[in-house]
Amino acid sequence: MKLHFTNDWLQRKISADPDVDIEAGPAIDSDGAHLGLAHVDNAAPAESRTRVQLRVGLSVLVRKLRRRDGLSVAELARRADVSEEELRQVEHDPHYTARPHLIHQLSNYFSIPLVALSQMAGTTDEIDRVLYNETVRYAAYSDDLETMSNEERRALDAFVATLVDRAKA
Amino acid sequence: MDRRQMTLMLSDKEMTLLDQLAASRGMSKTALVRQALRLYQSVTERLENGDKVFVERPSTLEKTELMML
Amino acid sequence: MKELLGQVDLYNRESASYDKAEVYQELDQKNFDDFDQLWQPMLAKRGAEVHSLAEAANANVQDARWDWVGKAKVAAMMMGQETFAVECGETQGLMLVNLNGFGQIEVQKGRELIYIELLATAPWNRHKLVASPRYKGVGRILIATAISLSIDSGFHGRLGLHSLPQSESWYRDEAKFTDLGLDAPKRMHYFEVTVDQAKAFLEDK
Repeated sequence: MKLHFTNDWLQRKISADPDVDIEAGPAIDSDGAHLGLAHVDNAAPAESRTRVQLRVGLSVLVRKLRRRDGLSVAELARRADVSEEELRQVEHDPHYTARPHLIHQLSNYFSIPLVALSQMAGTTDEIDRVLYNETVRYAAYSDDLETMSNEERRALDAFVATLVDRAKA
Repeated sequence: MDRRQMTLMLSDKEMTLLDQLAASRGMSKTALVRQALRLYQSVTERLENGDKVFVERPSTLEKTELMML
Repeated sequence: MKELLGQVDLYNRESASYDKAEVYQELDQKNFDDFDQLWQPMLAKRGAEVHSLAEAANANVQDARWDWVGKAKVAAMMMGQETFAVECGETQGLMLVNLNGFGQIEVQKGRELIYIELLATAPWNRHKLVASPRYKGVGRILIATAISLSIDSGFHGRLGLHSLPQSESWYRDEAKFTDLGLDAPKRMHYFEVTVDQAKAFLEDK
């Protein structure tokens, strides 16, 4: 795409603009909870950022594994004996904390170490930095294609192997 | 951005529809096809995740589920 | 893939001159890192100092918890969403738009428009957050970019957005967009930009 304005226009308009912060976005929750107003803890935001990044990685991983096996959400939920609704939340909501039961079931079903999935889900306090970095990298460069290419499969297998290695470390 | 080309074979009926939609929406045929892709991905993503997609008639609040064939 | 759209002039208040900045389509790790390491600490610190929603609006910290990383990654996978960044060294502004929106005002009811889901300037640029904001013009650049995308997508410049309270007067009085009033469920004013308004906005007058 191209930008349909010139720098001459920009300079002219910026100099005439009043001092107003120009923003747009979602509404504020009624209790302000999503603003983190209740807690005066400057360390907390950095940690919650890490947790959200890990959960994004978890959601990508679960979606990829499911599609690798050619399963719908309902089918995977049935086979892994977990709630379909909860599985959908894990796949799409990085702010959702999965219950230990679901993590345990997915760990068994996909043969991924429980300690790795627990860290990604945020159900443990400990965070392995290498696992974190690999998770962020994998999530950032994964394409969500309906049918997985061989390259995609190799990337998925390599990431799963990393999770197994880290669990042993 | 890299671009790739494809030749699209459409029936007379499909081509007429494409012409009509492009004209009525005030878009080029290419822009219309791109927009159709976006909407299709958006709807099918939801359906694949088990969500349901509905159409609502404001006057009666009657809801009909959008079924994908 | 992150793509450079162009070089733009950004007003540096400290030097009272224009610096060269870049507008990019699609975000990358640099933008995520800037948000995490530079924006978030300032927003969190200020957020801890305010005690009410009205104060938050005044202090301009509502976006402290927007999950830019998560949302940008989803946008990269969906054709119907695009992200943009303004960079001048650090990330000065971020925007997420949706291409599957439809107009609500009579003149463009049901017509395609670009809906701006999120638009934010870096905390050090906000005059409500810091005593000496650094750059002026980030918001205008991003709005003009959204209009450009609307034109290139065949939507002739049409936009929709929900305004944060502190920005309403600019959209209404400076940009002269149509204020549809308070959208009760979202508790924000909803604005739309018509084809004529988009044209007038970009005009060289």
